[in-house]
Amino acid sequence: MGQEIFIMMEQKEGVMEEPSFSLLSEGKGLRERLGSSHLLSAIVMGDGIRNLERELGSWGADRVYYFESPLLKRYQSDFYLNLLSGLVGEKSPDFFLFGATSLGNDLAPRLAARLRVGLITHCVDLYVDQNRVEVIKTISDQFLHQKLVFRHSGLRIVTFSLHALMRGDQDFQKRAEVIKISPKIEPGQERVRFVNWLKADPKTIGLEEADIIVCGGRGVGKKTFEMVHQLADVINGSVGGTRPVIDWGILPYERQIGQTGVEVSPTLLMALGISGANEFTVGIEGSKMVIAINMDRKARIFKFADLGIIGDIHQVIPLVMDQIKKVKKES
Amino acid sequence: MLPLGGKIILLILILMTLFFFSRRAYFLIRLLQQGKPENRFNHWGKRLKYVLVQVFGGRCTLKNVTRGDYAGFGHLLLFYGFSLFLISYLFHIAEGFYEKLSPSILGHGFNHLFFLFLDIAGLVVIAVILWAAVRRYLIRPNRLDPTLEAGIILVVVFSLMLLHYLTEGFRILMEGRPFAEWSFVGIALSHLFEELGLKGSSRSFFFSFWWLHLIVVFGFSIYVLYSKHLHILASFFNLFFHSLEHRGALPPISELDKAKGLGVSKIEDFSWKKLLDLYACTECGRCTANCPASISGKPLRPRDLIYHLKAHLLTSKDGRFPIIPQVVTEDELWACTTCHACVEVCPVDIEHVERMIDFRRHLVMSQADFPSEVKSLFRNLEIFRDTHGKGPSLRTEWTIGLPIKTFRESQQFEILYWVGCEGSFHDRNKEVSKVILKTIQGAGVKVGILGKDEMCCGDPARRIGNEYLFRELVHRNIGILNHYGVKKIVTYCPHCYHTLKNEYPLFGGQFEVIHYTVYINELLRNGRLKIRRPLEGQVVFHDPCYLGRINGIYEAPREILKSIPALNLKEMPLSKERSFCCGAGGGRMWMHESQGERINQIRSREAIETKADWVATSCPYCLTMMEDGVRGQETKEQVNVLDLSEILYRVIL
Repeated sequence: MGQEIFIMMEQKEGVMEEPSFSLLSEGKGLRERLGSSHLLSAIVMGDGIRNLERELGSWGADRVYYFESPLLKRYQSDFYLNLLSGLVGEKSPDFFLFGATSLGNDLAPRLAARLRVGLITHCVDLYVDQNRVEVIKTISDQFLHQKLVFRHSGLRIVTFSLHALMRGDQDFQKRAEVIKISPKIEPGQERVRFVNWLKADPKTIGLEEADIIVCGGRGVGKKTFEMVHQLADVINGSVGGTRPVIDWGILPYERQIGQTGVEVSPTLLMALGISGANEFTVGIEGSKMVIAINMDRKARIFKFADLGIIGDIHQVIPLVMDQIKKVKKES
Repeated sequence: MLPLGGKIILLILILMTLFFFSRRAYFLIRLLQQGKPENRFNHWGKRLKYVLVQVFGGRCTLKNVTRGDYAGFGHLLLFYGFSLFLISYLFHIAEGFYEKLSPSILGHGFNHLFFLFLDIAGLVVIAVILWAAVRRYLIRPNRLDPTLEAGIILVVVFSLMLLHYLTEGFRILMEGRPFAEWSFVGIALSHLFEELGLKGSSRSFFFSFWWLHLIVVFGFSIYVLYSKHLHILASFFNLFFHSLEHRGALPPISELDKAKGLGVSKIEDFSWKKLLDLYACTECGRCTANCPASISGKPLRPRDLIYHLKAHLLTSKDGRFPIIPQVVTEDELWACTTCHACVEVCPVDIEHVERMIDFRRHLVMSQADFPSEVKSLFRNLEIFRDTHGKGPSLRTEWTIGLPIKTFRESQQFEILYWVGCEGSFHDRNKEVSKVILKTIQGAGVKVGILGKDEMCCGDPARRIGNEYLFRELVHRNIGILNHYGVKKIVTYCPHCYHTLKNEYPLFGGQFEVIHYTVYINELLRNGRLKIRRPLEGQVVFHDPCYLGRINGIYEAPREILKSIPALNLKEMPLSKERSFCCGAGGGRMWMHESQGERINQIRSREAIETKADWVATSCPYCLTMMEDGVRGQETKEQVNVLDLSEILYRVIL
């Protein structure tokens, strides 16, 4: 039997989710760099999940260890930990990759402590230098990089920073070998119990963590700022503002984006009525996509926008909202 | 004059006064000795001359009169008048022991003159006291608090004047003929008393008032040390020991490597001179009245801050508690823009701003406690060595398409153009740095830049209190400048200018540093640069604090603007020495301004009210703040904010 690279999968309500796929790609890359014949073994925990051999196989998994039990539907640290440490003891993998998600951040340290092996968190890259694996991780708020090596042999656990993960290519022909395990779990033995999901409210979530942000500026106007809230509701976004808007007192200070506020990095940022002074744009440079709406075609904000709409937001936004509502209804 | 018993009582009174006075004085001096050492015992001649001009020449009281604050004029009259009375009190005491020791020992003529002047002085002092009382209790200007203490002093001085006249009047009545023939008030009063039929009892009246007068004088001289009138003595010394360093140039921390002297957390961490400042404070409130933070409704009120520190120094004995936040709150000390308006107007040379930075140094370097917004600035400076966190590779981006060489490529330059972080990275300010460069090059000057070798001058780090970071940047910059043998530097930003010119020498960097307004003005004067066309319109100049108040450059920018034909230069009500800060200095550029009104809004409103077409300035921070301030106005009237160089560039092409 060959050596294995364990990769922790994540699912929600029976559906596989990121970072599972990116982690598999990362595992593939690691194997290539090692120039070895490691097996990529995906670890799945859940209940009633189907099609694993195809889905995970296409992303590169050679083998899937699937623990199936109704008690494993949601992350439960004691159960997960016991099962994983048992499996690791049995298979002795060389690597175990996690995503730095809330699951990975909780589980990986527990596993490392239980097994007394090394763990490197928030890694962004793995290098192989003459059979020695070097791990690059960010420190100091991602301003600096640090290079680390494991001093021991045997299992090495790594959690990956989510922003560093990238999906590779899929191979739709490939199938994984699924090993289904029905573990014996005694309910009532767990020290921590799942009670309830609390969905993050885009209205109260911190802007640094928000995925979609609708940001209003001086151009929106004090009296018509409600429009920004409405648009945010429609696209499930969080509301932010520029400094003048915070000065008006219609948004609290923690909603201020820019030099004297927070720096955000959402997937989508909509900049409404914002001219784009330097003091604001330093706060949005980490955004993945920026859509700007402004009347002034020379506004500096368009330099930072992936999509720029020249027009009066008071006319554009209602149209945009209608369209979104229509699309939503149709689907 | 007095019988033996009276002489003994007088002697006892004098000894008692001396005892209480010296006991208090000793206490106050002991408190000063708790402060850290600071050498202010050099250049005695220079210092003495300064005191003579300031105190006896009246400069300290009159310097605000030229700015429309006439109270100083009254104060000077009071000072001269009361000084004359101080001399009279010596004679007063002396004649109690020995009759012939009256002013007449200096000759009869002197006697006449002395009492004539004394009578006039008394009337003047009374007039001034009445004026002061009316101001304090009826008109009530913002800067003055109608305190009990101020009232007591007014009453005491007033009664001293009254007692002088009463004593004099009864003496003339008693002696039959005026001992000083020109003491007109005394003579008039003696006639009045005679009319009232008091001639018979004039002797007992005279002696009663004579004693009462002395007792009030003695009491007053002790009370002075217990009240804000301590300034009568302390301001003299405070002016003598004033700083001879350039204004706003902070001294280096000598034991930074040993992590000692990192700012001020307890009162004894101040130098003795900064404690003496507290004694010298007259509580006149001019600092608060001119402070942009106070005016815009922030909790910082410099006068109160000094007053609270003084109270803290005088009342807390051993086991002193930390000043922050009990005596001075964090909101107060972070509100300071280091604009030096307080220092400018202070009649007794109190060093307010350095004190704010002392507090910040303690918070930043010992406690790592600073506004969270500043964190990214520090990190940018630490990692990228610029305020924007872009790094050296982008520092020369603004030069793309411009014929400019760096010192790394060539060293045949007349001057080094120090662009600064704002001029290198901030889009709006990049436009200005281009224009300045093109203007200088247009005059045929061989100019080079440091390019990727330039780093932040360190000003923001230093004003916020991060001396470690500042020192790191200074040493690196000085190393680079020396490496290329740079002699002459022209800067865009007044903050770079001040730091390079006045602070780098204290770290071993000696360069000739010129602000671009001065340099370009010189190019215009000697004809290397020519204005080719007129520009019609009205412009108002906003003085950057670090150019004007801190470095005294008021005329060069104005001369440039005046030299443009058809351009009309206007002034804001607050200009030159009294210029109002834009709100960005002292690291405030990177801090959230939540309390009160925004300072830049106030200043922009003032600029708009001049109805000028353009607001010109010559500082990247001021430009950003004024542009934002103008945009934030709710009025329709708009005004364009430009850098001075941008206006000039339109007419030299």
